[in-house]
Amino acid sequence: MKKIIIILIIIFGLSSGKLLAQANWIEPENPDVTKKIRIYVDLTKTTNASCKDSTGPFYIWTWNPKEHPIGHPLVNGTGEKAWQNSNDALIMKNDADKGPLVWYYEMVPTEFYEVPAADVYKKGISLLVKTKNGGGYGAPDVKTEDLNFTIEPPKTDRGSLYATPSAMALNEVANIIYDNNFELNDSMKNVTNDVLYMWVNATIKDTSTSVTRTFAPSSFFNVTSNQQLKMIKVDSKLYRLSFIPKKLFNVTSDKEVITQIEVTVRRENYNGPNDKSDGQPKIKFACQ
Amino acid sequence: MKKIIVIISIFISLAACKKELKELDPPSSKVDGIKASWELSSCSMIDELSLVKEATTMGDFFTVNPSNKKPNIKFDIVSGVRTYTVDTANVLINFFESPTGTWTFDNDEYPTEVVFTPTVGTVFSLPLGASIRTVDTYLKFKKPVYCSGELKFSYVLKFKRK
Repeated sequence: MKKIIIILIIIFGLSSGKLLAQANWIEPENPDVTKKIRIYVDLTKTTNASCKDSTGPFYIWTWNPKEHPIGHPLVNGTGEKAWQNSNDALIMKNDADKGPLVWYYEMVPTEFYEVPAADVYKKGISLLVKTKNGGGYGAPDVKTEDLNFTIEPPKTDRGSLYATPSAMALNEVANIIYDNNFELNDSMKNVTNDVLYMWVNATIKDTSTSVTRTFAPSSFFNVTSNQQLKMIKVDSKLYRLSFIPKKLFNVTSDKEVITQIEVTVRRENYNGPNDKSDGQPKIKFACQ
Repeated sequence: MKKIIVIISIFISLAACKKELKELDPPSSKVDGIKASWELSSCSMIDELSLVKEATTMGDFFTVNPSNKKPNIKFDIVSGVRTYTVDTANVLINFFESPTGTWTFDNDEYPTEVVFTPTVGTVFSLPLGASIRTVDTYLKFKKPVYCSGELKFSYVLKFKRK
């Protein structure tokens, strides 16, 4: 018992030590970079402590994922000695609730850097914190070390069955992914060596009459006789079915559109509900 | 006199050091480069709505059924007219709208895109993903797909010279 308590204390100590040691972070964690984020720096914990004795204000100086050129409203500094004259648009705010020397800068990364979200996730954000006059030119620098932020995209729970690209179009290739890692049916978990088929059922609407009908290329019990519904194994637990909706669902009239498809996955050898995926999600069509 | 000889010797030596200028070969014709038959070698789809531009590789789809042929295109010049043809028999998708049409580059010397005028359909252009000289084995396009005026996804197409 005593040993367990000691181990727990060590684990707690290590994890809280990690938190205490954090000099810079982003809130929220795993952000959507097309929305506002806050970049925090605790000046008591940076390696280079030259800012620690200054009362501020502090400014970010950033170059990654993109550095703005001279003349840009968000350029790091202005004038002949830009390092000694930080741009007022890059001033940080103090968050005393998080610590006496915790400063943050709020931005929408895609707007601030004028880059696509994918660039922010790929390259991360790099900056340092400095006073308006960062010193230099013979005087000691007043700045932190380079601070690099790796940004992971928001965690999305798409379930075990989803379309990618998310927008499906009638006459283009559509892909339905079956991610067995998210399977809820215990008996269908770990299907690594199974041959799988997908049952698909489309809801088709006649735009001239608003009448809807459903069409399944094969019934649930007969999918194995339709090779168009055999899933391709992409990875150990990832399967994919690709198709062109117009062809698979035999849409011949220009007035007809597919509004959604209903999908479920089953083993080639089906002996009952244990051999099919959990649920039967309906996936909407974004393009008509 | 000795000095003059030394100076002349230096000049002669310097002149001897001067590298002979070699003329560069003319740049490879991009028109000749694209004039060939091409067959799809790989394909992926980029979800333009996803924050991370998620990519799905799905080129195997076109040949899951062995009787299907790969998407293809042939660029040619017939009587001075730049034409293209697509063999659509047993091909799941034609990325070029019509089985026949004409084409141009936006710039013959430094092309960045191919402009297609399908026999049936509207003019469209596809950006080139790489240079297309006679020595290049692959022809790369990125084909955007719009829906209600919004870019939804793109195909990244890589064709191999036949």
